Amino acid sequence: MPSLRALRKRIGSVRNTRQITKAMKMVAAAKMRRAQEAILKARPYANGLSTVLLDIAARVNTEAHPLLARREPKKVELVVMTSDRGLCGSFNTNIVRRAEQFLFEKGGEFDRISLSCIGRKGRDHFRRKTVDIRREYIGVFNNITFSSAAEIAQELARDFVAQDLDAIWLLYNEFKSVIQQRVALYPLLPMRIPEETGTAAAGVDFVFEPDMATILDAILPKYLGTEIYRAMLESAASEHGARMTAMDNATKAAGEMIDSLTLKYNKARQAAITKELMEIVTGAEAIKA
Amino acid sequence: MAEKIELTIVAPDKTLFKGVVEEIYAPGLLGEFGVLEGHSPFFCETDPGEVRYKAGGADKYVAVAEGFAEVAADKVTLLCEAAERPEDIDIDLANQYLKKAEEKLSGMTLFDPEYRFRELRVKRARNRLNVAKRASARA
Repeated sequence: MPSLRALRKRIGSVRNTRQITKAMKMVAAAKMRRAQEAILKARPYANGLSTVLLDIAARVNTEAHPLLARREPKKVELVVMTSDRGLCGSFNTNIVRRAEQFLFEKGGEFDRISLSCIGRKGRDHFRRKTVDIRREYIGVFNNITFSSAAEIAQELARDFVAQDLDAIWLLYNEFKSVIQQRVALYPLLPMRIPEETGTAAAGVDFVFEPDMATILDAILPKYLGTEIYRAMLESAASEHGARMTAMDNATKAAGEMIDSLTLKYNKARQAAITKELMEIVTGAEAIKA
Repeated sequence: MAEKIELTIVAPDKTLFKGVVEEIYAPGLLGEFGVLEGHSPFFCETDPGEVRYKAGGADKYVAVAEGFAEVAADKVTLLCEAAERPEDIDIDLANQYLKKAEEKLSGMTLFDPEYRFRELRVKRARNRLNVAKRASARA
């Protein structure tokens, strides 16, 4: 049986921990609400842009623009989006596990797989492995801006156009709901163009103004930037959601721990008192006798 | 006359309008274009300007920044960098924005890498002001 003093100390420290997790939960909740609003607002534009672009891409030749090129995937890059901070449950673990699965499954298929890490946690994990990390972006989640997303997209696009990469996959946490995230993995380049399923205008030639090359030049980088931007917003909202849940669980667990420790403490205290009383009574009896 | 086109105007921060309209006018890069039902498929870049559409017989206006427009027979999608209704624009503030944008542009030359970006900002600001002024003149 631990001493009363040790128990009291233990209860105090767990109580402190609970206070911290509770505060973190509240901060995460506030941040999540903002992030959630941002992603809900950004989705229609991102979806609209990708619908429009796929509409065009399905109609034009793959040689119309270097970003539309399709090559045998030999040099592949996986963009891994994790958070910069920890204490958010299985948020990063899920991503890292999926990334390793990807590397394991596809490792033999391609000549070269490299990583781009957005977020510190993924970088830290893969730095310890024998994986080629070509790029890392740390701290972008502090303030998510379109220009930082566009910059990442631009660097990726440059390598793709230079034929240094044949395919780029994007891996991130998608925001489903406050308590639910889904790991999303999809090819950013080359674009996954839906099968020609006879849309109303299929076959009909589009008229482009001013001309197709100008339009593609403008819209393709914009599309890539928007996709990265959207993924970043999704990931940020998911991160705060995951942290909120994790911290809520931690707060509850700490509460339970305090209860059980308090019970133990009280039992120990009672036992001590009883023992003392017994000693006094025994002492008194001895004097009487 | 049951001419119906599904119009969607989206900006990165919101969906400004989604609904069925009779006609649309939008500022293309090479000049304004109008769309009625049955328009041939068409895709263009748009300039900052005023979008006008007729819904239920009434004309509505929107100030838009540069972006893209996709036109199909019964559907028009406008993807703009920014979109606002004239009644939401504060003329005094718009004036200040324009002044700031012009200040930043002045002194730049055509060869400046930022020139086009700054020029667009001025165009945007000027357009917002114009749209708002025209709306208040109509009212």
